[in-house]
Amino acid sequence: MCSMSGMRAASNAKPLNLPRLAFGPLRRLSVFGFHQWDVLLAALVLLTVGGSALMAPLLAPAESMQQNLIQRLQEPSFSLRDGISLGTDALGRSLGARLLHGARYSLAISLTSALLAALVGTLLGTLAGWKRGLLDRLVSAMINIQLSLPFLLVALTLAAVARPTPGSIILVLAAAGWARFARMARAEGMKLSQSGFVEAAKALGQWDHRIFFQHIIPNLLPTMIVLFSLELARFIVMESSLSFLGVGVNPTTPTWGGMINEGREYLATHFWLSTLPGLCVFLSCLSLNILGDWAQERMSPYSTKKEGKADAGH
Amino acid sequence: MQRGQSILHRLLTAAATIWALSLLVFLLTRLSGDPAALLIPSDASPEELAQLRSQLGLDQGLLRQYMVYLSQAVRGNFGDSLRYGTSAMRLVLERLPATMQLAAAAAVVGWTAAVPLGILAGARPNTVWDRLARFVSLFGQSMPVYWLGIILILFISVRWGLVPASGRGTASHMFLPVLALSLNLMGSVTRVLRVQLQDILQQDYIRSARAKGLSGTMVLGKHALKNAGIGVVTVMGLQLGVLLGGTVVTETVFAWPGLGRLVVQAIQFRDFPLVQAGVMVLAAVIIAVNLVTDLLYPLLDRRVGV
Repeated sequence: MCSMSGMRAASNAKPLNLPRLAFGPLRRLSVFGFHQWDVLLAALVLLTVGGSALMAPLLAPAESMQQNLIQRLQEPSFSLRDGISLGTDALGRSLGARLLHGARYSLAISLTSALLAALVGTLLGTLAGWKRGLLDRLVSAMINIQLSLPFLLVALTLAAVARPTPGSIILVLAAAGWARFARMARAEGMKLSQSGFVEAAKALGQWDHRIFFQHIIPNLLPTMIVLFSLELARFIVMESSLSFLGVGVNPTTPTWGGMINEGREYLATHFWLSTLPGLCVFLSCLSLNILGDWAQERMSPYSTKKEGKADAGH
Repeated sequence: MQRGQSILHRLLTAAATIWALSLLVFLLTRLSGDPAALLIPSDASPEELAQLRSQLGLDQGLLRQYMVYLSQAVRGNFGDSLRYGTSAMRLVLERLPATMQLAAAAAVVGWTAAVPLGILAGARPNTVWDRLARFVSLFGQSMPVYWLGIILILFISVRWGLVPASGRGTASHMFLPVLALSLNLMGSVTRVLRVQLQDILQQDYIRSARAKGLSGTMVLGKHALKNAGIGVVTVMGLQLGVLLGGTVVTETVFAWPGLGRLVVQAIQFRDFPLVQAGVMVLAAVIIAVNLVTDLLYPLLDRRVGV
């Protein structure tokens, strides 16, 4: 199962230049000296999704989302004269317009709740790791409890009783997802509070809040940004799961998860109704994961895979 | 002595977690509005509402209500389901085996595939296996399990007509839900095993093991895997929790008559006793699983005292 050559390649301190060979001729192509095609594509996908979400009202007028039973279940068409149309759903609403407007809701809700969770988690976690004591015990207990309950179950319970408005969904998602940020921030805060520059600042008599905001938080940011990009993918999946289960925002509001659910009935005849919104969720999350992984690998001191860096010089 | 103490600590934490959840569920159902108003038809008279309130004990103080709720919940009594009219707990326990069956099958299939792949990828970086493992873990993380389910239904059931798309009964009914869940599970196990092995294989003690003439298989099996194991078991324990919670979605997609689907339907019917019982039982199973993983640690790593 494990040959000698495999072991050798792994245990050598300086790895051979295998990756360059493995990717073949494609690796020689580069955009501004940058070789990683998956990362470039991921960034492109995210820009496209984000951009079209922002410009949804310009690209597709809201009127095309109104019910029109005469035009129900039209198939997608592509022509030079009329442009691209993705057809209509069971109520005659334009699928393309709903996808674009759905991106606005889905992304705005996931992004806001992830930001809220990151903010609360980072502040609580860092403070706990830095100050220790009673605060740390409390925060740690909350983190442990939160992490041993599955995200979806907590969100579902909260969503079942909270009235489903965008605001309450954001709170539900943030309440169910802050703990991973807090755990990471706590570990980092503990490490940073013992580092030389924080000790030095303390010895110089600097105030606590200045140490916190000028020394600890800026050093924490890179780690938290990487974590954020990976977590945002989870928030997008979670938001779409809630809408899919019918406990998300109002069902008439277009969301990707809700559209997947509505389209399920027509899977045999009009498969694109539920697969296209799913593709949007999948591609957005895949791109976020690829970018997050790439950033994480570049930041890890032990990584042998700083391909972007290594390649830029050659 | 210390071992006993820390086992006790774990047990207490688990109990505290369940208690915190029960408190949360209680507060949410009581503070988010009048439960009686939700239970009764909207055209009921104020007298009828008042009668129901006193029948449910809602006219008493919040603390007293909580004591009643807690003493009943401890005995597994969450009241009768509003929709079915029978004990919510009994309904939940009837559905639990179907959910456990699905989760267990998915865990066995997913891990059986993920562990060899992760080991191959970890031991041979930058090969086909490594790239396959990266592909699998990225897809596992990014693909919502219900969408994967829909795509599987579309091709395997609708287009090719190979296995039934929904329901429970024969082994062929299990094929699609288990496939969807296990593909989803494979992601993190493969990822953790791959990353950890690749890190471990660069450590000094691996080099000295190789230097004293051990074969590659021996180094991998005796030294590297033993140390990668602990991270993988942690992930597997957490995954079982996510898996049981995630069956909520999978069961809805495949119309699998399990606990998750019951809870989702109960939420749509605002059947709070049933939601409470379902969530508490699922959470209790998950917390028990996490507790067992915690207690398994010292068997894998002697340095960890329980």
